[in-house]
Parts: sequence; C-alpha cells; structure tokens
Amino acid sequence: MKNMVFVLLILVSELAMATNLRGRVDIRHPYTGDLFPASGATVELIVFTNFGPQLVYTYFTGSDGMYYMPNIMPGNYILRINQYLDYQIQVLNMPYQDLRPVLVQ
Amino acid sequence: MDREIAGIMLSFALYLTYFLIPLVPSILIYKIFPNTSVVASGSFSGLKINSSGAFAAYLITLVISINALSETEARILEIRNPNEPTWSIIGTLELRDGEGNVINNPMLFDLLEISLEPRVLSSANGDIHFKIPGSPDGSPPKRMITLDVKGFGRGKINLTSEAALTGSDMVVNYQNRTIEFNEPIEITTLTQPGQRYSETSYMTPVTGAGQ
Repeated sequence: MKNMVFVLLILVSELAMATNLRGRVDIRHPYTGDLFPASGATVELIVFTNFGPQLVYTYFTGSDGMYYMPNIMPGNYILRINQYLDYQIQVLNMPYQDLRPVLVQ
Repeated sequence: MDREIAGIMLSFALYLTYFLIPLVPSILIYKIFPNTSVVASGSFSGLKINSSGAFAAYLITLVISINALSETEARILEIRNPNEPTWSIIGTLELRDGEGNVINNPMLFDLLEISLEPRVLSSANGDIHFKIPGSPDGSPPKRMITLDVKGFGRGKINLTSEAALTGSDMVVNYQNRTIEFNEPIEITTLTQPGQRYSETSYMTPVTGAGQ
C-alpha cells in the first residue's frame, strides 16, 4: 500500500510538471517580404541525453503555422525546424508555455 | 427530356440501325441480282465466317457499318453519362519515420494533400482550370472547394447551396458543364496585420547545435 501511494505520488508529480508547448513557424514571402505562417514545416523537439540526441516529439505545422507539443518535461531542448534550423529552448515547469515564433527563410 | 431516357432511346435506335442498315443492301442484292454470287469468308470477332448470297452481303455491310456507327455510339454514351467517368481510390494510409517505425498521429492526416500527375488542375498567372466530379443527377457538384496558396493564404469556392450557384459572381453553364467566375476569387492571407511580428520577436537559431 505504501509503495502504491509512493508510485501514485511520483506519477502525479510527473504529470504536474509536464508542459504543453505551443509556438508558430513563420516564413517570409519571397516577393513582398511580408511574414506569414509556414504550413507544412517539420518541428522536432530534441533532448540531449548521455546516449546522445533523442527525438522527443515531431509535429507538422498546419496552414496556421502553429505547432503543439503536449506533456513535455521541463528541461533544455533543441527545437529543430525543417531538419536544419536549431533553436535552444528551455521548457519551464508550468501547464502551458508559448515559445517565441521562429522564422524560416 | 431526361438525359438518361434520351440516351437509352438513342441506344435502342442505334442497335436497330445496326440490324436494319445491312439488311437493305442484302435484300436489294437478293431481289435485283438473285443469280449474283456474293461470298464472304474469313474470321469475324473470333468466328470463322464462310457464307454466300444475301447473307454474305448482309455480313459485309454489317462490318462496314460497325466502323461507321462506332463514333455515334460514343456520342450516345456521352449523352447517357454526362460526367466524365470517375474512379474511387480506397485505401488506408500509414505514416512511418525514417527508420520504418509506424507513427500514430492522426492529426497529420489533416495535412494530407493529394496531387495527380498529369495534374487535374492547371493554373498560370492566377488563371485556374480544373475538373471535379459532378452530382449523380447531372447538376453542379455540391462541394466547398478550398484554394490554398502555401504559406500565404486561402480562398474558398462555395458550391454547396443553390443560392451560391445563382449568385452574380459565377455563371453556371449546364450544357458545357462549366462554372465560370466573373470576378477574381480572393485568396486572403492568413496573417492579419495586427498579428504580424516584428523580426526582433523571433527566436535566434543556434549555430551548429545538435549537429
């Protein structure tokens, strides 16, 4: 019984720490120079462990350019856009976290 | 008259013609030149033919008229089936990563776009021309068409209601089965002016990270 409570407490604490990440990928219009949401962008969340980089989540943006990554543990990650553009981000211990938008050229 | 009924009647008339037209010369040959020997031999539709007299004349005229009437038959079929024949592609998609593992993310299917080669859509300098399956009763297709300019914006063509089809912005030609727009179809950008970010608000990429 004691063990079960302990496990439950750990699970609850883990869930409480998980964060729902949200952000947007933009693209520059080649002619007007205006900035628009980038649809179809690949957004990957990568964490570096002792075993090397591990892919945590992959998302493909819709026409609004938004990406959503639920239940991400707090820590330092790399946000990789279209498999070449890397951004260092820190996931905080909060229910929802909005990341600043990224711009792909 | 209903297209389908007209098509069936024309088909019946055509098959009657197939039978009657060859009959005329064969009767004439039989009546006028009873002693003339007409011989037809060879293979026809996989059958070996070897006949003479009026029946041979009938067969010869039949073969000639089949070629002549085949084009008429094609036109009748077009009347009976006003829409281009459409085929249904039925299947299930499966997403896999680079290592071949199955990815279970139904949200990705919302991003699915299907293209054809050669394309059913042609567009040049903003002029578009494409075909879509019509309704079974021959009326214009009751569909909402979305025109998506990647990374820019989206426009819609609403054909779902009768009111939309009778609007002043489009001309529906039931004979040629075309819907032509008088005014440009607007593609509106997804980003509103108030939503635009300045360049300084973007994250700065990390050079070489994760390489």
